[in-house]
Amino acid sequence: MLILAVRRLIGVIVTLFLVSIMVFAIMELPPGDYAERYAFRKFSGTGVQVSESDIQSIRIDFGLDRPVYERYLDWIGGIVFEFDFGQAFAYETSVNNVIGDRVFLTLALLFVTLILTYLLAIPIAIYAAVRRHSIADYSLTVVSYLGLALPNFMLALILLYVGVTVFDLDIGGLFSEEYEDAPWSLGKILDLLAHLVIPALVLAWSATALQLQTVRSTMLDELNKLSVTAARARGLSEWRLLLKYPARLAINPVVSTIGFDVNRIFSELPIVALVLGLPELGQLLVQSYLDLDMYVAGAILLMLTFFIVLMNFVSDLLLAVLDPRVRAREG
Amino acid sequence: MAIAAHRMDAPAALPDDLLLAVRDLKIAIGTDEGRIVPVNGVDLTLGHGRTLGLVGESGSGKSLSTKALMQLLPNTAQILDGSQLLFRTKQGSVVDLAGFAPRGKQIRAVRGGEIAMIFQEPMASFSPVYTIGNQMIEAIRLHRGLDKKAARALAIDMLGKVGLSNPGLRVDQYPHELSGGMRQRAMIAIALATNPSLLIADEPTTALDVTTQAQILALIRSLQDELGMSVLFITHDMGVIAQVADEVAVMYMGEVVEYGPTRDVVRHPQHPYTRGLLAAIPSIDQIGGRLTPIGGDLPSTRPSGCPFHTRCDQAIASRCDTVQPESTALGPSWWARCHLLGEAAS
Amino acid sequence: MASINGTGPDQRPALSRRERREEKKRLSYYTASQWQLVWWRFRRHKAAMAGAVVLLAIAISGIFAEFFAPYTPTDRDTSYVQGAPQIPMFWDHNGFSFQPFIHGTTTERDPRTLRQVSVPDPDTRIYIRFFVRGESYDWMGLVRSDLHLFGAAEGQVHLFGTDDLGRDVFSRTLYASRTSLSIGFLGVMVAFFMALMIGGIAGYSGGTVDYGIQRVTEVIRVIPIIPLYMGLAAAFPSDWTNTQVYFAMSMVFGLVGWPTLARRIRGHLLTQRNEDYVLAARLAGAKPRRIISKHLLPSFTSYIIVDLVISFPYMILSETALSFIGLGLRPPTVSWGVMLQDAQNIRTIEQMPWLFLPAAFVVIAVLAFTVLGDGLRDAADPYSVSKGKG
Repeated sequence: MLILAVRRLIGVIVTLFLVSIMVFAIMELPPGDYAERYAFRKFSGTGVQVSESDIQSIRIDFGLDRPVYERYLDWIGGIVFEFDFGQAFAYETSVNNVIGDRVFLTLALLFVTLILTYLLAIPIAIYAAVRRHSIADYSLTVVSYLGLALPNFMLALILLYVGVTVFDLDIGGLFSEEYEDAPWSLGKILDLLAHLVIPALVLAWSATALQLQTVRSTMLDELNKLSVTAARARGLSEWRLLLKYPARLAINPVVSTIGFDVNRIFSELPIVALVLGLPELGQLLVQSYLDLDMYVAGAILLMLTFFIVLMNFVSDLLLAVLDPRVRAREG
Repeated sequence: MAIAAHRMDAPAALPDDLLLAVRDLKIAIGTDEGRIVPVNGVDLTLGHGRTLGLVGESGSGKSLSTKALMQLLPNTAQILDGSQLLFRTKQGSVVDLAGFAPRGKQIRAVRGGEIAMIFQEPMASFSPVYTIGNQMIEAIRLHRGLDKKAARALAIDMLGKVGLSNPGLRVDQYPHELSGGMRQRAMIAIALATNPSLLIADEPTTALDVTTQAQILALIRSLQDELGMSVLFITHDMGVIAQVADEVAVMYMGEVVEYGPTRDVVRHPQHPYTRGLLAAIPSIDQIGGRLTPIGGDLPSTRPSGCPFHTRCDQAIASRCDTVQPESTALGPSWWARCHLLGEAAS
Repeated sequence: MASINGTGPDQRPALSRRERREEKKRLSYYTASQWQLVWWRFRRHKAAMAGAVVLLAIAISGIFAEFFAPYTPTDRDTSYVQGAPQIPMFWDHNGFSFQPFIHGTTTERDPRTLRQVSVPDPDTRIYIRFFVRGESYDWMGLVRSDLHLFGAAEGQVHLFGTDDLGRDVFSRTLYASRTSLSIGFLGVMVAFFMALMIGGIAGYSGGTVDYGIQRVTEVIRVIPIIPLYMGLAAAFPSDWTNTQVYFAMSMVFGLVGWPTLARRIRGHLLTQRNEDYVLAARLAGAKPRRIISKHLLPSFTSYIIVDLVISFPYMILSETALSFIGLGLRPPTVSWGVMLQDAQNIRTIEQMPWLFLPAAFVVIAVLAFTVLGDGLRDAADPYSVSKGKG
């Protein structure tokens, strides 16, 4: 178990290192450099003529004249050792300031979504598999197809439309007006949780659809296993049998795909956030891409990926806890 | 699903020396291509403490017939009306298992408690995520009403009985930590821990190598002597039957074509199919000679008349392919269904 | 179970005509090629067939958008701005007509917002005509014509309504289908090519090369895909033409979309490369490329095709998502995503819910691809017949 954890941890570090290179490459991709964009942003419309030497001095100020690998080491070193993600050009402050408590809002949204996904998907799928060819089973199939075909952001738009036209209600945002700029308090947290439900439902939509299918098909496989017949032949009652044997194993693929679900949720997050007006990382990511504020974008992309890798790691460990075969295979 | 009605009025028709009598068992399965009847009139009897060998090719319906005893048939299958599965419980009453609902309380008490079953693949018959002990104690507590501690002690005791070394350690091991032979021993331990009066062994040695196979067969025999349960042994291997069974029933396409004492049937097989099966066993004194396989394949649908006539080299034209043979008595508990025997008798 | 159930040849009884026909059918089953078998199994899959038909319909209407769409995507009907969908009718309070018609409109000023709005006039009928001459077009630079499938006898007809510039949403949706489907197709092709190369190399060489490639694959799989797309799309220079953006987008989808398929190909090659037939080919002096392409991949083709079909909807959804937030295709290019951009804020949807109609196309296309993929997967799996009956 310990060996497995250590081995996986090394894998995590290697992956994160490669991810950081990739993210840095994306930050470097846009044509021109920060100095030009910075100068353009700062002086456009002011009537000041910007000369090439001005840009060059900005470049030196930000250390942009140094070779790529030095800048990469500088950037990643700052993150790893000082938790400093660099400068946000569009906001003229540090990336850390821009991001602020959005990280926590994002994580809150992520966990509420994950919990919702599993609470919905696992019991329903198990029930549908046991009652195969029932109405519940068929409606599950329809819903899971729809879940794959109807993108979350469209669902968000539909909910917005229904909210406004039918209930005369704005379901966007994460806080009520009175808590928008208020300091954190119990009231604010409860208000946040209430506002998280709709976005979480929207984000859970496709993840749930996918997990419904996975759990249902694993459950169907497991139901036909000889071990289930053997347990039935020992005289166990049907529900106890189902929960102890096939259902227990049908959870394994869910656990092993937690990281994948986090990936999916983060992938859909920016657009859903944009539609629902959620002040979290995804929305900021879109904004910074549009502004070409690449340090902010890079920081967010790195953070999101970090959480995904972390959840992958957690899922590996959980799987080893749940399945003795994994422990046996990997020590 | 129409289940054969539980005939409360006529359960007593089971002679005292018998534990089990299967009468005219018919099982139908609904498939995409329509309804098929893979078990079509099976008759068997099994005495107390005896071993009945059930032999036949894959698809002959032998597994299905025994699954019916425990109501473990797939959802698409049903036992047809008129089938009788008479069984004497530990309390001495005779019940018709065919009348029990597959999910009912009655059959659950029989499963494990009265009839236990071991399977062909010991690995697959354990859940990989629970220890051997866990899966054992669950059954013991269910049928013997022991507390956790006593159940565990009994489990360890049983594991020792089936010849596992260091049973106190084994009880906390996972199935994948045992070898194939050890797993089958553990499976036998689970099955017998609840003290059943009938053990159904569904090809328990097929997946094992020859030496392990012999050990397991010897183990079942010795446990039978010790615990006194009856054994219903399913196999496709006539050689195994000769080693373990007191009586043998030869199945072909859902019917028993010959039934009798193993010794008689093996020495003087009367049905052409039984002869074919015996001729196909390799033996020491035949080295250099050639084995004689049974020609042809199992037909996809049951032929009219005698089901074996399509592969029988002695088939009588316009008789075997049209008239279904009745059983011909060959001894006090020995009979076969073949027109050739009827001819000889008349 | 599809086991061979023939009786011995010498005992075969005389067959009736019907039995002979059955027999022939059965024999043809055993001698059929892999593709015939796949097709036979696929044909039985009704949902997948329906999916294929729907996709074909969308694709054809997209490819020949110039003909099927009554107007060009930029054509503005100033007399019917922000107009609601006009549904052709066969009867109204004035009676029945064999030729479908819509009601004419009159422009009024909304008393509240003081804006010009078009109001249907139930007493005028505008008939729909088929095969009308309209605006001339140049289809793929090959055919010049001005023939359209349908049009209004006078003025214009807008099946899906118009947007705030008075452009016909129906026509735009058809043109958008072409863009969205083709960009997905290009993306899938690029991804396929990449996967074949990378998965092929990793699976065939194994060892260190494989390890390195696996690591890189892992990195691409671990970064959330749409943010990754967005990052790459954000880098497109703003002075690129729409055509450049279009091809760049499909390249991006391809460059990021290969890992899943590459993994499958690698896995397959790794298990197969130690098989005896591969060894035999190698001993016979065949070169790696030949072994991969002639021996290893053919056994896998059907799976590859299924995977490609299944990955298609992801490309479409990605395009829609990217263009929707303004990081993908840009107007005046029309794609489903670009069109949905107009429906981004709640006020617009409230006023003109019909701008959301392209979303229905996205959903239907993705749904069709998914059921088609499922059907193909079942059909391509040689064991699917015996499965479930076990």
